[in-house]
Amino acid sequence: MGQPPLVSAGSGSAPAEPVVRVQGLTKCYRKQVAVDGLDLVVGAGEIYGLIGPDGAGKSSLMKIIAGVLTYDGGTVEVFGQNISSEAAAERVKGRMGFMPQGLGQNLYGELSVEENIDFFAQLREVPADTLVERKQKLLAMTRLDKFLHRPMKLLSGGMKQKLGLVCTLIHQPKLIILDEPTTGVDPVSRRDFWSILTALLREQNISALVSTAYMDEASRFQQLSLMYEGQVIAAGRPEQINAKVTGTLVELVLAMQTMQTEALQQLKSAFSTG
Amino acid sequence: MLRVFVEGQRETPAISQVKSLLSDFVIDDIRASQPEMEDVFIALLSRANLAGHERVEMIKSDRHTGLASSPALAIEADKICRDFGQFRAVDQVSFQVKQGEIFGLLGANGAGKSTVFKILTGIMPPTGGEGKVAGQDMRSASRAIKERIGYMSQAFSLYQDLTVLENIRLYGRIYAVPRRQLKQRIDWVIATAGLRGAEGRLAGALPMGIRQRLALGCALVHQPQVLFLDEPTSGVDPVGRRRFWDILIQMARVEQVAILVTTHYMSEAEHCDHLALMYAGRIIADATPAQMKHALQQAAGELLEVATDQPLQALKVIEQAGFEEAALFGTRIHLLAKEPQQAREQIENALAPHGISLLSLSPRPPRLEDVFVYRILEQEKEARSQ
Repeated sequence: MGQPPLVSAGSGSAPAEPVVRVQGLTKCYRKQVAVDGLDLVVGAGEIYGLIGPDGAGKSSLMKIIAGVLTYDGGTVEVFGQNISSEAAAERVKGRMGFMPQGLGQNLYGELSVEENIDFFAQLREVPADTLVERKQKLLAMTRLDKFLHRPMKLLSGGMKQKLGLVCTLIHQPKLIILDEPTTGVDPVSRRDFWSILTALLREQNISALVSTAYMDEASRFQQLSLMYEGQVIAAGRPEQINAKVTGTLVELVLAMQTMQTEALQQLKSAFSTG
Repeated sequence: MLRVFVEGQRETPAISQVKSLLSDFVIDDIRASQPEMEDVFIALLSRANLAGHERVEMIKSDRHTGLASSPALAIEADKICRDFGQFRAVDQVSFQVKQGEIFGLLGANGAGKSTVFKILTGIMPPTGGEGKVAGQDMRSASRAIKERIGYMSQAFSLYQDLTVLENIRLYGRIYAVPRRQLKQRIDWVIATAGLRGAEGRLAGALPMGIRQRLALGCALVHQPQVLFLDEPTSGVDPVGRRRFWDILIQMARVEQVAILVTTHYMSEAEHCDHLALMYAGRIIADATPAQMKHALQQAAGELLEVATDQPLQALKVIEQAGFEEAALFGTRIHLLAKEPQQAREQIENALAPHGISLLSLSPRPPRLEDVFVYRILEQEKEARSQ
């Protein structure tokens, strides 16, 4: 059975061009290979997930696509533009928003919620009248409107994350790149974050490339790549990836809890993936 | 609870395979379910021969104490309060942790978990209430408590420009491990935390997973009775986290260490024997993971997964039809409903006028994340209505 698209396409419209197309990408830091011949296609209006452990190359890949990191081989196209030079990257930056890893990493601790937003708006040359309206909308959506004058450093983790998102969205990008936005955030704030992202997708047809270290967030994505040591070890829709491995999860409780380690050891030697 | 992924097997053969393997053990309860993405990821890695399959070494315990039939209490918190001026950060918190038990303290950022940790580890005095840690009174014996506990935070507090071995030795001295035992304890830490081969590397240059195990090893060098872990695995990959938890389970079961842990990873909370959920300084639920899920089903009904041909529009319609907490997972919508049959009709009727087809609607077992989100939102609603 075919998978329904998230947004039904208008009748007779041609399939949209992918927003990001990466082919054979390679990135090395001295002798260390961070990204190793990687392919990736992000479709328009998609929330695309990059999942993988620390050091898998997720951050390098995202920075390259965002145009803030150079690469050694392969091609990277964003909005059909080949990002082969700094000048080429500049041409698409206005349509892109990038939120680096670490809560509030790109924000200013001493500045208030509103001052941070205004700062990003100026940087992105958002006209003053548009800003008022956009700010109001994003603040209401993230429920940050009650904390306008609070310095960023005094916000909770979940609020910092939302402010980071507002600042990334203030120039109405068509593609947002979010590096581990939910790391260190509690489940309620995380769910909140996903519903904001969903609403944005619905209302503004934004595409998002999002990385996470939480495996249980995989089901949030329409498409995803599992990354390990600079390579993609599986890609597709969550259920397609799940279907690559057949098997059963067995959970058990022993009568004697103290025997758990011995039982675990036996299970581990019998089932390599225990 | 033990969990194992049996690759390539359906439910019935998988269960009988596990049962025959563990024929020497008495099994209380055994059940099968679909693997999760984490199992799939690890299976794909090992298929590609990428995951380093280092075995967790089995270490004989240094302790020769026989196991008491009813283990002693390691932590007793009795109506602990902590005020900061007008603000009550911890409000009448009571719970108990037994020796050998893994106890998870869950809650949103700012719910009071860290303050409870600070009080129990003797860093901060409580405003009210009583507590015992490792048999010692929290108020009068904070020094004795510090000798009997280990503490590891998400910050790891390692010395970046010291080697692995130097870090362990330094912590051994800080915790006053007797000189004649120090070498044996260092060897034990290296073996238990899986640090063999990394002894001479600088802590600052280690990958996250190994650095985390080093921090855990340092917190265990003086054989504490109680281990406090404050978000110990933030930012660590799934393979690394699994390894970390293998060590914790060994600590609890073999060494009978009591472990109090906070985490935002609900898949980790599943490993805990017991959980307490905090909200606004209070404990609002205190039970085993299975009991918590059962209670959710009692209170809020079944978790339903809805597939439609237009997920985004459908979500909006379903929210407007009264399922305000419905959430999108990929292309599927999750919601809780007390009367699944009635909910089905309600959803069908709501979707039809919008030209959206319902492809499937099926119950799913709730996860701890569903419990967490439901309980916290319930509290928030209550707080708003007051």
